[in-house]
Amino acid sequence: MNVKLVMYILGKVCLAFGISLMLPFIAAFYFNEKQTVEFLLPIAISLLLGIFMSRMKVEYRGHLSLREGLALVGFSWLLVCFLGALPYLFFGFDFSSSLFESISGFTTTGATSINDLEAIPSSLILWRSLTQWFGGLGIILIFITLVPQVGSSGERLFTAELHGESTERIMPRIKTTVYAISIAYMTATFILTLILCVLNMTLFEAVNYAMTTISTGGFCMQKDGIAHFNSTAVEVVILLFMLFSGGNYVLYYKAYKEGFKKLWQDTELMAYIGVILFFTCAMAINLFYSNYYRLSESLYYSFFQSVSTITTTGYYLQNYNGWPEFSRFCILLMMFVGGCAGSTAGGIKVARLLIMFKLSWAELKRTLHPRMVIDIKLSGNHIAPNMVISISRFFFFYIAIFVFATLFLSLTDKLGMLDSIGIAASCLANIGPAFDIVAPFSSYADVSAGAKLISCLLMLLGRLEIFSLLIFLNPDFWRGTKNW
Amino acid sequence: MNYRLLSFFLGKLCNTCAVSFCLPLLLSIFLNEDCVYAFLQAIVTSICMGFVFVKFGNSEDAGITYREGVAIAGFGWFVITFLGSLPYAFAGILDPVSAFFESVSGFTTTGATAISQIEVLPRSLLLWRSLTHWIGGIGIIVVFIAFLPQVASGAVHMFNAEVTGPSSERVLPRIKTTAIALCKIYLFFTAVEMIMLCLAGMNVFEAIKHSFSTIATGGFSTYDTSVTHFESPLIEGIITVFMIIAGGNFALYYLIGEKGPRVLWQDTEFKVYISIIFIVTAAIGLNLYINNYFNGIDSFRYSIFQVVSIISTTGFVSNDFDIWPPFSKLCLVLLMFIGGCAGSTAGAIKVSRIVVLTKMAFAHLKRTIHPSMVVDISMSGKTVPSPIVAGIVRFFFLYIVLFAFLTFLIAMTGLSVMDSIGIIAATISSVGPALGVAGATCTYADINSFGKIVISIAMLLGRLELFTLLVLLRPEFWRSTRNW
Repeated sequence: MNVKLVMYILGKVCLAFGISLMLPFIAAFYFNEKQTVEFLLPIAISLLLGIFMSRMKVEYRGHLSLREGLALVGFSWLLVCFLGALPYLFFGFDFSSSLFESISGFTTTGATSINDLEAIPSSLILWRSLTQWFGGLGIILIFITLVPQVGSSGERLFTAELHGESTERIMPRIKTTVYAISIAYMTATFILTLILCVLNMTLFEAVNYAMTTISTGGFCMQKDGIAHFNSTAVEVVILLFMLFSGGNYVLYYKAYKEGFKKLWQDTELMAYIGVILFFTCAMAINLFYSNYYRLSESLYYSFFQSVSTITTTGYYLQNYNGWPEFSRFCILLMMFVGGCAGSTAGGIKVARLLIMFKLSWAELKRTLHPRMVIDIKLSGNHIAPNMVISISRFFFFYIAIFVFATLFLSLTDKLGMLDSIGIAASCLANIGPAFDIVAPFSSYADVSAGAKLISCLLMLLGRLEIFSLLIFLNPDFWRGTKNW
Repeated sequence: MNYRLLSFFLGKLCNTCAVSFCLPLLLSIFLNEDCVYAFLQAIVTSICMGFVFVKFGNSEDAGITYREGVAIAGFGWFVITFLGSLPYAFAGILDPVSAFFESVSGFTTTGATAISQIEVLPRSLLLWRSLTHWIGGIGIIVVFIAFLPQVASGAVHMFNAEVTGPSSERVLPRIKTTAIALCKIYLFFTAVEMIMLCLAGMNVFEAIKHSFSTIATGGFSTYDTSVTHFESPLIEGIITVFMIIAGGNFALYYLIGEKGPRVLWQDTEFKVYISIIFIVTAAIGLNLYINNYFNGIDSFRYSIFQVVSIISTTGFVSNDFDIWPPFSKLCLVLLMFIGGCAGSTAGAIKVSRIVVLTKMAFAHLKRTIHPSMVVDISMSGKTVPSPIVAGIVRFFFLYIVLFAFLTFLIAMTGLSVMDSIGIIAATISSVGPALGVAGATCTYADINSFGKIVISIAMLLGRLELFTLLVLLRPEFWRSTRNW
């Protein structure tokens, strides 16, 4: 592994990070806040670190190897999460809460350990939302467009970053794709900001909510979240944009180029909509017959909650923790599903589940006809056997990590069984709120420091699709390559 | 499909069932109990059904293919569980659905009971309950293969449709010899345990029933309080040892007779099985001790009994684990998913599958770094062929998905999230006692009829390892074979 090259690029990440931290710094001046040094210090630290690391003499061979790509993704996330915790730390939060808040931001989880959101300065609120926005697109993804050196091997980064199973490239040059997706992402944020402004939000609120919605993050500015505005129009707009963000950006680009019928031909998108509608109906019927709301309200609230959970955003209108048990279980199930591949959503992803279902169904047929050749297609594309193996592996790791995390969480203070299950499922899928102790309208503030650190690890594992972090545990990753 | 052949075997099955009713009938005549007529009615019904089936059937047609094997095993289980429910229903103790539930729970060696007061039941009916365990444990098909001459050529298909475990590898060349050997080992262990329990102070009647339940990893007891009733460490110890034995691979025990005890330590699965028992016992024991539930010795005494009882999917209870700390309870839920060894009477995913899955996941992690590496997964020094690995992956996926789906269904009845999770985890793996409403000291009596049917399906799916029943859902299964 070319350690110097990795260091060099990480240095560039630090520089970019320092620059982006200037935004809340400027905002602090704009809002006339007293606390500005708190931002200045992290800026100085990251810029110095960046300058130091990018002065590394690099001997560049013209491409990144697989290891370097993986190391870069993993380390830049860790680095950014730690640097991102600095502003919170200087604002007086304890270490575990700061780290938790930062990781929850960059992984677009949206779980917050700050109990009194109204009391913290607006500049810090902006920083929280910004971390989600950056995290959503993937800092690396932005970064490839900025650092020309990565060149042709950007694809490796791309697969490690945008993960999912359909990293099918729509254009020959990866950089063009990245530009296109970044522009789509920014445009969507911009449009949402405009609409929210029109709907009587202040510009500052609109920007914050737009950033956390498009990144499927879910940080709120007030404790009661979206319900604070008490406006159906705002809720519906946010609902639609969540639905959009849970879809595949590559598909959107394709639809933009080749006509909108591409959207209806995509199996994953249809399954995604189908799953949302299925759970909406199940929960609405349950809520209505349990006499919680009127029929229209039941449908509306369950639709909002389904979309928010499947896209792994984590907004809420009602406290679903008080809903009947069946609805709560539906929400728990949805936490595992997640959005489409190629979106900013977490979870197992619809495409993976679809492929596994098709495979199992085909396997049943194969037991009848043992010499049959199984061929799985998704939206007309053949799924290569290698991909099937990697999906199976992912599924197993996902469940195994969920199980062990639940066990460890239940060892920490104050967490019951359902608390542990909920937190593990929610953090691993980058959602945020879960049940009981961390139900909607409450925060992770009451959770012990140990549980927060476990949640941090889960959020990172979930965001990097488990495997980009687990690979670091493999001794072969660190060994020299001479034997191979 | 050869329906006449299917009918012939189902008829034979009915007759076998009629014969097995004779044992409790004799006891009830001997003890002069009320339920004599219930057994007589049940015998008459089975003989009539058997007569009709055999009359329609024909054994001289072509041999048994895969389809017939699956159909015989699949429908055979439905027929025998239906017949087995008759005594409960005719005796007026349970309504038809609960009677079916009790019978399925017996034959699938689950041990979940719908009877709220066991002590008041006639002893002959209690014997029938334990007998269903014992018959279900060895497997009705295995009994068939051992004693019916007609099955000679197609035995392998029937055998594979019922006997559990990932591969159909056998110790003995002929299916029939294997089946007879299994029956002998099964009888031997039952007899040994019975004698030991008698010596430890149980009366003969209790000893017979408890040894039937233990060796079949069933879990029906003759008391509401299960093994807690005896308050005897000696009895707990004996039952623990035999539960461990019953959760191990019976084919391996046959090999001990041939090659000596060292085969145990050469078997990867058995080693992992024992290690899991020790690790989890230690974890739960410490957890109980640190939280001041029991003193040092008692913590480990209750912990090892419960761990063994659940990993072998027996479901005996020596202490109300429902009030244990969350970590201990979650550990037990995890064990419900692991289950015993392949080729045992235990249910659930099975240790060997878990081992193969883990090895596969890590091997493929390594392969990402070395893309041209050949992945070789071995168990007990032998390579596991890749189709079997693929099958195991599908099995794991289906198991988790069906678990989620059945929990979804059971949650509809209004049970709480944790209760639903616990109930399906405990019944699909044929353990028995779950958490909360169906916890260690409670029964399934209060669950409504819909819930009982869902649970019965879960138990049957778990016992036949999913595929045998799911294949019946494929349309191809019912179509004629001419295209193939």
